Amino acid sequence: MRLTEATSKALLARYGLPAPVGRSCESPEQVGTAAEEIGCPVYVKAQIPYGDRASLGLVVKAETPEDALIGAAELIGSAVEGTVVTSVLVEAAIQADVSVYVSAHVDGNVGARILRIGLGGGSGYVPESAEVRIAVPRGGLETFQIRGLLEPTGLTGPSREAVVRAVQAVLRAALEWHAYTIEVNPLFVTTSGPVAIDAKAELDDYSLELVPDPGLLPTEAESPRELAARRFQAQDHRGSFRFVQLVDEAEAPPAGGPPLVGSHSVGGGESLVVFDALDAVGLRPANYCDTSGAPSRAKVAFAAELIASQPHIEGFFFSSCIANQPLSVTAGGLVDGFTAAGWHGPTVIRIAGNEEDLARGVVEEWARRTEAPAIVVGREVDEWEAARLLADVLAVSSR
Amino acid sequence: MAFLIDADTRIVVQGLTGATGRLGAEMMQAGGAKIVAGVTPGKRGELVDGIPVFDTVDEAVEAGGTASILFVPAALLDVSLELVAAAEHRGVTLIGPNSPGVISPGRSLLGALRAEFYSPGTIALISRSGGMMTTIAYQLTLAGLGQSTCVGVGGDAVIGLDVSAAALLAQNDPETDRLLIFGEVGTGQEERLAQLVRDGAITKPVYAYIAGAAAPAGKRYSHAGASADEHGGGAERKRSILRDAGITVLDRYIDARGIGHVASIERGTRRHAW
Repeated sequence: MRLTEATSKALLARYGLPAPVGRSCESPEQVGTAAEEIGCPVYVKAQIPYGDRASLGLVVKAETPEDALIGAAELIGSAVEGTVVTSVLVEAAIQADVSVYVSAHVDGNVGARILRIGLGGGSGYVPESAEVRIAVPRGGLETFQIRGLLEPTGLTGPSREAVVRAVQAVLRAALEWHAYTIEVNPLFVTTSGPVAIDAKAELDDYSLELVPDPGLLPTEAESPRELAARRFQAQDHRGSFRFVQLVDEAEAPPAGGPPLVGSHSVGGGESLVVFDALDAVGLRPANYCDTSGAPSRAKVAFAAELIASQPHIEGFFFSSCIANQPLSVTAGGLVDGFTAAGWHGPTVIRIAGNEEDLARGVVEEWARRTEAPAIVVGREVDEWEAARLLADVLAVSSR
Repeated sequence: MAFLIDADTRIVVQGLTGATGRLGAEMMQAGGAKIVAGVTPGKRGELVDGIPVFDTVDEAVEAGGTASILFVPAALLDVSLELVAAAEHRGVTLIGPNSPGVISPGRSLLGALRAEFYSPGTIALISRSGGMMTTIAYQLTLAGLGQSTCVGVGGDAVIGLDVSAAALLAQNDPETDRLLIFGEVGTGQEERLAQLVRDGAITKPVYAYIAGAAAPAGKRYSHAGASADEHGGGAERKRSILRDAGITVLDRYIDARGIGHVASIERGTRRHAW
């Protein structure tokens, strides 16, 4: 889960690292009022979980409340790669004696959480240039160890102590919140101590049940279907279940754009292959969904219903890798999900692996009963051929 | 001889007395695995289908075990970090977490894989996806292309043996003459493989398919490692890096059926003799 700047800062504040005085706002008028109360100059910052937003024009400095209102009007409602800006953070612009970069980031290439500290953080900063780069031990680092690490930066006295405090906060947050990334860039060292000017965080989705304060997790970081899927998985551990909303149903499909289809796969790699196959025939997945590793029939049914009930899809595409799981159970779940969602639209089901003949029969019986325009194939048809079948069905039924 | 496992690998199944362990053991034995011991704390002295059970892995190693397998639920991020660090500290080759296992067809199987989809041969198959490893092996088998060793390195962001390390093992295996890679978006594994080829550490022909070119960046999918973001890891960039290194990049994994036939595939810049 990627957190916005505002939530990342709230998380760091729990560990004693403050942010500038600020307020989250959802309308230009709220921004104007906030800027007046905070006192200009202020920064108006789009709250979407992207790094280096300043370079993308998503951060505006305003010298007056009127400027802040105008800047917010441009930011709110704009979109970056499909992510719509719905809120902004208005923060006091403050001065710094020293600017620093601090991050704790899981580097899969070395299999460790890496701490980076560098002088001169800010927009465009290159983390690889940080003066300090060290693998964090399992228990974190002691204060004296962090002080020692800061030697190459040349920091001394109160400035060094301020950075030590900030690094401790970042490390504790990363360890206790099971974070892939906690980054403060820049960290300002002021006369009153360290201040996080910008921050971002990404947490391990599979560890969200373990975080110290789940109430801090933003509900808006997950779509309603993503949240429902995660909660279902938390109470039914048989197999895995991952749903990602790629096109929100509130987002109107562009005129003349590729038809949106629901995507349901068995296998993490298979799911990515399916995306490539759909793309090759001009179809666009509205979602990602993988139920694999011997999931229960109820879990597959829940997933299929989540997908099929999306009002903005025109077709449903299911495909499995050559799977070990009993696919007749999976097929039963698919039919249950279709029934619950009232789905009988264009459908291609590609079933390969254990019990595939039995599974194909289950879905074929559903198709006969509902007269749904469904095609059921097996391992003899690859993902690209199967995607072409759905594209052809869609062209016949809806164009 | 294959690599990682062979006919003389003596396997220890942790959790052998449980349903999952027994099912895994049955699949492995169907693939020719020599299972010499099981481990379940508190059940020392029991037999499962004639296989002795011990309390600890240390005891199983004393009984002759040389490789071990453990079936567990999905590993959390910080557990994976601990596992990788512990394996490195103890000099253990860790495959996974989130790995389907390893198979040297006709010789041995260390994992939850169905041996009937694989066949003996000379292609090393290294995959970031378990299901796709079996799917591709099946396609190879249909095309008459057997495999020396197939290894699923695991789809997580933090794993032990990665694609590049497995490729080095394949390079050093005299019975392997080609490498086939199923890669995905995210991580730097394919980039490290390309560097090894550029450096001349890998000289055998390498073929690769990278899944997820159409997967939107900035998301983590069910393979936690399959996450491209604004800093990189995208499929097109990976394909370009691999191609520049002389690796043959396949447009579709099913094109692997043609890697025994020069004319049917897209060629990299390097000219291989085969």
